Amino acid sequence: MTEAPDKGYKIIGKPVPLIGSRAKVMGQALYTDDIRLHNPLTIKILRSPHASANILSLDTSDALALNGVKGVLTGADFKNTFGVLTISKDEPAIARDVVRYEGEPVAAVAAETAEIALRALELIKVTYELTEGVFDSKTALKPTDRPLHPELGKGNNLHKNVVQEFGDMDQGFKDADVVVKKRFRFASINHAFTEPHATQVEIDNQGNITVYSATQVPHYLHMAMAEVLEIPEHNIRIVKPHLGGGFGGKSDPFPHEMIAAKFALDLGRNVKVKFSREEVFFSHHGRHQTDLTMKLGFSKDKGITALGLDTLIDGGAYGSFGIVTTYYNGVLLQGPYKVPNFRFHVDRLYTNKPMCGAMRGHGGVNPRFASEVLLDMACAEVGMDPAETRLNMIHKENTLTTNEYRVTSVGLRNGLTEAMKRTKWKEKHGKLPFGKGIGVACGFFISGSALPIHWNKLPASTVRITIDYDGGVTLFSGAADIGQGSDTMLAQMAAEVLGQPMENIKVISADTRTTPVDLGSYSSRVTFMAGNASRNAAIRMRRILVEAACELLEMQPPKYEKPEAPDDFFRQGGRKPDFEKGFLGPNPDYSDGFIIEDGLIRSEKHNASVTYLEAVEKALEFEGILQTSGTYKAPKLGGSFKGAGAGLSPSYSFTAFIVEVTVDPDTGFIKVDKATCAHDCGMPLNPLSVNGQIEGCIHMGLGQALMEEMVYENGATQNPSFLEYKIPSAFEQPEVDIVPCYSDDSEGPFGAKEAGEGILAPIIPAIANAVYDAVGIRLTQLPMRPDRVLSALAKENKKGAKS
Amino acid sequence: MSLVSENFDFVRPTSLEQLNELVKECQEKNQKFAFAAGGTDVIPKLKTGSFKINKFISLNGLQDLNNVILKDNKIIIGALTTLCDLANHGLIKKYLPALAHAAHKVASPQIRNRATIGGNIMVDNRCVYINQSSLNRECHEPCYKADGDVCHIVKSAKRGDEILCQARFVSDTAPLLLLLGAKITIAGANGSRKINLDELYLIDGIDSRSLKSNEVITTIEVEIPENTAMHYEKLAIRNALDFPSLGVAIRITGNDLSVALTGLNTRPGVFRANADSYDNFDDMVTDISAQASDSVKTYSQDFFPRGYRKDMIPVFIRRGVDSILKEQQ
Amino acid sequence: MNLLTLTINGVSHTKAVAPSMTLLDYLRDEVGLTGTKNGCDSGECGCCSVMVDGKPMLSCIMLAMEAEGREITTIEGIAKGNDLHPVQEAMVEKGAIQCGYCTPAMVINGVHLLDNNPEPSDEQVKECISATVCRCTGYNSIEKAMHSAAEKMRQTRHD
Repeated sequence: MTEAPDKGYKIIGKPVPLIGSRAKVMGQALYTDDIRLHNPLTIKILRSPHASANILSLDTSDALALNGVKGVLTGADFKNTFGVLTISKDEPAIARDVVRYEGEPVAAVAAETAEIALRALELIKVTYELTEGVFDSKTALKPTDRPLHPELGKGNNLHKNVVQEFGDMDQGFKDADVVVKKRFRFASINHAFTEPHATQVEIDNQGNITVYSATQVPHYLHMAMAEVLEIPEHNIRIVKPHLGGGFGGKSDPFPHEMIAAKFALDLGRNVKVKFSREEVFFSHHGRHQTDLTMKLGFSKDKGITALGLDTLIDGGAYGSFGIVTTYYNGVLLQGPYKVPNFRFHVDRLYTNKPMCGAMRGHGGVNPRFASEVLLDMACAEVGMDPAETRLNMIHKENTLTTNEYRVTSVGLRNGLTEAMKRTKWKEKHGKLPFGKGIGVACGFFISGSALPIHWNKLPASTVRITIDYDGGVTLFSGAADIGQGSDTMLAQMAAEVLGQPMENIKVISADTRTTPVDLGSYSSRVTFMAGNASRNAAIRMRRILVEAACELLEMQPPKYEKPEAPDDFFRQGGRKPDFEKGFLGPNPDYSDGFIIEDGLIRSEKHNASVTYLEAVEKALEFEGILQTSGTYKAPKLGGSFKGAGAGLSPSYSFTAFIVEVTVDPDTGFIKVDKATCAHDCGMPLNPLSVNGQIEGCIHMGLGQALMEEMVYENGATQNPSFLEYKIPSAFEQPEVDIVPCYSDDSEGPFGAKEAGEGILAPIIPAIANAVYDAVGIRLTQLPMRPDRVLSALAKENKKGAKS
Repeated sequence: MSLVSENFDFVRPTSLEQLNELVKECQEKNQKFAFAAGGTDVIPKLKTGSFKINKFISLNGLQDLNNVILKDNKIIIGALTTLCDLANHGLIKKYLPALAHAAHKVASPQIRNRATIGGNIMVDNRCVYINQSSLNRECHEPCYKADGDVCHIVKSAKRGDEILCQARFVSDTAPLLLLLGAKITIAGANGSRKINLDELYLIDGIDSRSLKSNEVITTIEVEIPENTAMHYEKLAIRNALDFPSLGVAIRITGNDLSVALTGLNTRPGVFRANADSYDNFDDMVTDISAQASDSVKTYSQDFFPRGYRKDMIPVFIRRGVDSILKEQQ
Repeated sequence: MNLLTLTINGVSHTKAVAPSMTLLDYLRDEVGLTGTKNGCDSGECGCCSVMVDGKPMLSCIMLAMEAEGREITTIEGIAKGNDLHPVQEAMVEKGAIQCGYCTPAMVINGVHLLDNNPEPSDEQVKECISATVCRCTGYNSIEKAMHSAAEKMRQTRHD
């Protein structure tokens, strides 16, 4: 169980049940599909049964003629393509002339009932000309005169190629005592959130639309929708209702969202659309299928001397977040250890399969598996303890990585040490009987991407706080609570600073009309960025209240020390901080000689107090409204080479796992008995949430490790169901032990860093390394299915050798 | 995947006579119909659109078929007994504990609360190319079981072959019942008849049951075996929800051994060995394992590759035997 | 269309429905009880669990017509007014809820387990939630919540 160090906070670091839990547990929380708009039309989407084809003709007349059908849309109705990244807007709302994956929308119907809409789909006549598809990365690299995206002007299906090199690779490998190299293969996997995609659109009599959608990033959806529909953004309001899980899979703008909005505008009617589970799998956006060869040089004295990798990632039909994924497959290997000489080459390919995109641990998960397995091999070869070796290699505080990431807080060493102690690592590793094993692996992840996707100078997060005349605090944020509990985190910030109980903070979030822009819930950015914004807004509000209290008490208001001008290490975006405008500095201290609690604002020095409500009333006297905002913008970071921006983050999280397994040598089944986790998320703001994220990451990592796999046959999704796409059940989930692991991040809100994604990656190689300890095989392909275990065992022919 | 565009009538006869009348009416009007008790097999299939009906005939109105009774050394199980009730029934736990265990291994708690033993021994054969939505089936071209003209598993299969469709048998409870020599009572238009359970199962994956379309199973009857121990061992990647990738039922009576397999081929395989023919028990286990492995063909229609499932047959037989021997000690 | 009367959370509802309508669609679309979720519509995720005559079943693969004459309890019928069932309380307290989409089903299954088994083993708790997909929590905290609720219910019984 996560526990936070006691720093005298009242709400920060305490286990706070998530806002909305009570509504959820009573079935009252409204998810997108639970909303009941007035007399909505139901939208159904016709999807291509072919992975690669030309649309020769498309006749919708019979469908349109069906009683109850109000509209039909085809690719011709949308001029602009879209994509979450400004640099790869390659996806049409509906396929036009060409279909690139099985399940791609080719038409959509809006009708009075779902039944009519489904019947209308059957009446749409499409003539396809089947074309030769490309279904794997290697083929996609070959020259072709028919690439999926001829607009790129490439003679093959390469979407993005990234090569970066740092240091001297040859020298690095020369300096190594041992060089290990292997090829690793990873299946594509799906987020498998429980709530299928859904969107409802409400239209008013002036042609404004309110889009209720299951999205992680209302802001990017807002921008993409305005562009696709060619209407101003102020005509569109995006609202994210309760959301049933995202994990990256709801962070792109989606075709059905464009389709629904267009129908609402064209027909002047409210509309709704919801995916079947199968449609969720068809539209996918999951983790890229990956083929990766990695070489690692290791020196007994110096640790890793060189790391090189060549990687193909299969992107599917469209870009999605793919360019970022391409970079992340390399750059996220710059932690948790120093890699002095580093080269990576990643190609993302277009294929005739559902597109891949961002998924929890984005781009970093598969290379992490490879590097942690290779490191384990290197340790085994030179006879060093893999846990101690790692312990000694973890980045020191305030270091610059080889690719110029600024690493600030690092709390993992204590955590890993404690995990080794609790698991009796020394007594177990290499000493357990055949079939029982223990393994270790570490990881590293960004706490929010420092750079925005749409380049502008606006803050990455802004939070607005108002206080009503009755003292009620309302917090407005564009950040999307997708189940991870960001609303609760934002409220905790404000409650702590303003000395209010949690119940007195109401959060309104993820509504583009009423909440300030936040870039959304991706890249583990919300706690760090929106959290800082909330804290800053609350600090400004606190100053107003304290000044009002001073006026009532006829005291001099406190003098706030100007924050120290950030030194070069914390330079602020090349812009001179404007202290007059209330710049709060990177780690603002809000101590002001007052204590706000139990409805009183009390001067510590003068033993005098006013009530909170008196101060609120006083503060309202002139302006009539009490309102502050707080922002967060990452400092200027990183090097000046091409691609230096990828993976830049104001801070990084660190994770270690020690995993104990039982391997059945007769069946090849791997049972993960126990996972011990140390995760440095800085200050755990809400131990309940941090626990939940750790246990959830273990579940998802376990799935990718042991059973999850998107199966394709010539581009056709073979397992688009929860029966055939195997997610671990409660029976497979191991016992979990979470050891204390903290740091105090100098820029994170109350010292906090991310806790949602970085945890996932190292659990997988920790399992693989434990399997090696148990039965002496190195598994290099995910999922580590029992048949693969048996094949590897047969190959090694080691059965019984270790006893 | 939805039923909203399906257009069928719902009827729930309260007697076999009424049932017969309804069936007759359907046949006269050339209407397609399906029987369903729990509906946990039929409804998902209807949702994928892999078959269409005019009438949904619920069997849940039939009386006295949801009980387990002991009569003259026989256990008689009403076909409408839910898998949950079966797994927890005192008589089953006492006399046929392995069957209780197998019933408990089916699908999920929610499904076992609804699904019946009759439904489980009738559960339709499955294949990745048929248990998919219409879009997916269209993508691959409809297979024989989807009224198409191809088998994606055995590409050379053609009409007139003994096995046209390789959809595999997936009942968890049938293998044990087969080893117990269960008899089933079948009610139809011409009254009822009793057959051995093994006569129910046919060799082809499309029409894999010998029941006539107007017949329903009413009871399953098992003689309580003497001097017998049994076990069911299931291969699945998860301990919940999944159909068996391989299921092995073991029966040891005296020193004789018999084995039944599920999850592999179009119908369950049964293998028997007589202790007299072997020098020792171990040889018998090895031999029956070899027989079982040699006789089945596995195909790529499951999470596990075909070779692995075949390799696991002897492992699971050995495992089942060992667990019986262990219990006997 | 058939006129169908169902008793849901003790209240009788009569609606004209197509015979092919599932119980789930009846609850969500006819009665407006949207607490029961549709995660897969195929009986594979468990999110649509409701109690039928006191036993959890999957409402997405059950025809509404089949529920005639039976007592249906949905998530909306578990709390007594503002008083949460101990399972609901424990789920909130133990952080067993993240996105919440599976939560109603977890509660339904948990309430059934604990109402019938005051002292469930680890295995029985796992079993109870094994076929309801939760992608957020990894199940550990849900199991903790179930055990904690069981403990609380035992204490209440003794008092």
